[in-house]
Amino acid sequence: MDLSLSSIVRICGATRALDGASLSMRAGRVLALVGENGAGKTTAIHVACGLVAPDSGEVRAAGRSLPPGDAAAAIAAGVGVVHQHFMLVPAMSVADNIALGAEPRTGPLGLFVDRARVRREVLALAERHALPVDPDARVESLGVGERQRVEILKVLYRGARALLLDEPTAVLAPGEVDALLDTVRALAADGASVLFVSHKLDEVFAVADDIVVLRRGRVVLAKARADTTRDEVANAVVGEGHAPLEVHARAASVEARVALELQNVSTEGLGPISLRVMAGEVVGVAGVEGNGQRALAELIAGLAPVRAGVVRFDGRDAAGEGVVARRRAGIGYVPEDREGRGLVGELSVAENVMLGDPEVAASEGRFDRAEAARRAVAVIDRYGVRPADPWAPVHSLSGGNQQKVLLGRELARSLKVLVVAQPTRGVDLGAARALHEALREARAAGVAIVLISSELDELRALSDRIVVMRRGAFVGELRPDEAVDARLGALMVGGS
Amino acid sequence: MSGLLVFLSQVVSAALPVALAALGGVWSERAGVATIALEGYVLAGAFGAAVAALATGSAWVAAMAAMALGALLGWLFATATVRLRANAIVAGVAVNLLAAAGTRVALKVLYDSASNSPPLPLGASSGASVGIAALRELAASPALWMAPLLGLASHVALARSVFGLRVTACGENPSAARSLGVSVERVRTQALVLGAAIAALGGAQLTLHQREFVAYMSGGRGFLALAAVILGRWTPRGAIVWAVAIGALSALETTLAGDDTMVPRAALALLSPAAFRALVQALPFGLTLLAVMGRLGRARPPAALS
Repeated sequence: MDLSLSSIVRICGATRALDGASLSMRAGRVLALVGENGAGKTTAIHVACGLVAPDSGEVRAAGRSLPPGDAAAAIAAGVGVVHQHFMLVPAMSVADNIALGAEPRTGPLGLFVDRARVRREVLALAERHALPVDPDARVESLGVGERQRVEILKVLYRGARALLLDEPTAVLAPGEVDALLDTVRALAADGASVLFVSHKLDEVFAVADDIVVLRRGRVVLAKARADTTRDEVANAVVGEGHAPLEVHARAASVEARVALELQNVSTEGLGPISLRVMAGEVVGVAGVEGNGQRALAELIAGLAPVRAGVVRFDGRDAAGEGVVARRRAGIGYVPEDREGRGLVGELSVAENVMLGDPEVAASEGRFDRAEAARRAVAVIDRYGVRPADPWAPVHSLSGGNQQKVLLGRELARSLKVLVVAQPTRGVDLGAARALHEALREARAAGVAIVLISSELDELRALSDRIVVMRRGAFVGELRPDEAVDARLGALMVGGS
Repeated sequence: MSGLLVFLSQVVSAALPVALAALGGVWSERAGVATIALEGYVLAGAFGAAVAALATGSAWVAAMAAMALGALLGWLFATATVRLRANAIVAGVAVNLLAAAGTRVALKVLYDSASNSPPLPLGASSGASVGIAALRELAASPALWMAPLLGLASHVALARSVFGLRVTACGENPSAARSLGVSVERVRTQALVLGAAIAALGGAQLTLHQREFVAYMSGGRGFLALAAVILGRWTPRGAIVWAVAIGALSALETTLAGDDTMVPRAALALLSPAAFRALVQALPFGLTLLAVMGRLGRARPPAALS
């Protein structure tokens, strides 16, 4: 079945998750949707299947317009989704999960679920599509690959003829990936249209008939696979030919002193990795989001446990130290989720500034309002926070001003190492400049900085060198002047 | 023999309100909404039954009225928690306060009393002292017949009906249900209204048994019911079994109150008879604490319970 999205706009808060994106799935063909995290792929799927309503634009299934934001209507029209995060009820059986919402009824007034029929139909579908499952098993007892088969059967059970698979291979082991790609091809050969979302160009080129690249909510490339190349797709993903980079003359401030050293360190979703950062050096970390950047940041900050390996600050072993000990030792952390993890929105600027101080956290007694206000005013004056009110609740500040408070709080302490993630995300240009300036000053003062960012321009503008992360490991290292988009993009997505 | 019968009838009449309230609690908690509002449902049901019994003289009409009033309160609670997304604990406290205050205001307005309704026109209460009479009285109670029926129906419905499957899905993973076009709001609202109606029937049993409504007469039974829900692992069968156990403890406490010589001698070395009785009464709550701490086997609540 053909399924098309035309000129979809979907606004989430201050950002346009989709900004006039159009794509069209054809019966019997596999359309690969490629893009970085945050490019709008998942939003596109949610719009297509009626989980969210677009702010404008239209979804058409087999030529007929679908009511916006109506999941039941989309299902009835034959649209089926396998979500990135499985939508399964672990405590229920495979058959119940598959039938839920489309239960065949039996008994008086059709009150009961016809489980015998569900079981029969599930087994028949499983057989026909070579997707073996045990209908009586509880989902919680299944592995990831089996759960995905249940999700696909769930969709087929409803007679879906347009299948949307949101990063289906992200959770699979290599052997399972091959089986899934076979399934995808078989479904298309059977006359269904399939949307296949992936970061991985190997898979995309192995399975797709058509390729669409989304970037910041817009379609930046839409071609048949035969008419494009991996390099072209990789460039489109990271965005070629945007604003020229601001290259700043770097003072030779890198000291010959290792401030942070990771040796074969691993934690959940990361490693083993090794990294050395000198005092006064900025190491940029590039990579498609979700490839271990957050684990790296939390590992250094002391939030994630060190499973194996050595962590040294200034040559001192700190693997066993917790957050307070590390903060006291001069480790600063600016998390990417500033409202959720960096600041407490209900509290004032002054209270937030005090929150990060391990001495305050560890001391007993009263809260020194005068001291808090003094420190807050220092941050406000230095970074130009608006409104200039130490007692304004942080949630009333704009994103850029919140970020100034957060970065200012960390830099107000005498730091040795600073981990900063996405410092200018969702921040206006003026604030971004001020934040970059603050980071440069910190570098000049000898702070070792690990800068995690999805903005390649930002990485090139601030970093002394750039490492690329993929699947929880470092896969390459480049100097800023050689880190052109094509090379970074190829390392990030694993193209040729 | 008659002593045993008296005791059993005491167990049943103590267990019935708790069992019905717990059954109601199973429905709403299985749908994923924490329901400390049970106490309010029981109290409202008790009052609704009194009003209807005084107006019609029929115990069955009284039971139906109690369920209707409970359903109304459950609908209010569902509107607050499901539609307006209020915190279920806060909204539950509000329902309990509303029921406590509302019944007192209505007592004053309808019967010009601060504490109790006029006696219900259902024949004098025999008390529980005469065995056969107590049994006969119990047999005339609608709740006695409806409780097992509702228990069985709930068990079958949760295990096998389409509605039960959807309630379970909404309680375990509402996003999954929503992604399949199931209206989580509607299913939860239905489950909450149903649960409140059943719980209110437990309140009706209180009034019909005592032959009058007394302010605050729910006396913590809603919370005991919540304990039964948790101890019974959110299943109708488990909840009823634990409600009966709680009823037995309560009957034991009543028996001990009438005869201090039945308090074990070992306990008397440490406690006064009154303190021992209080301990017996507190036992269900202690067990509940152990259950939620996972000390009594695996107690796994519905995953989306909030």
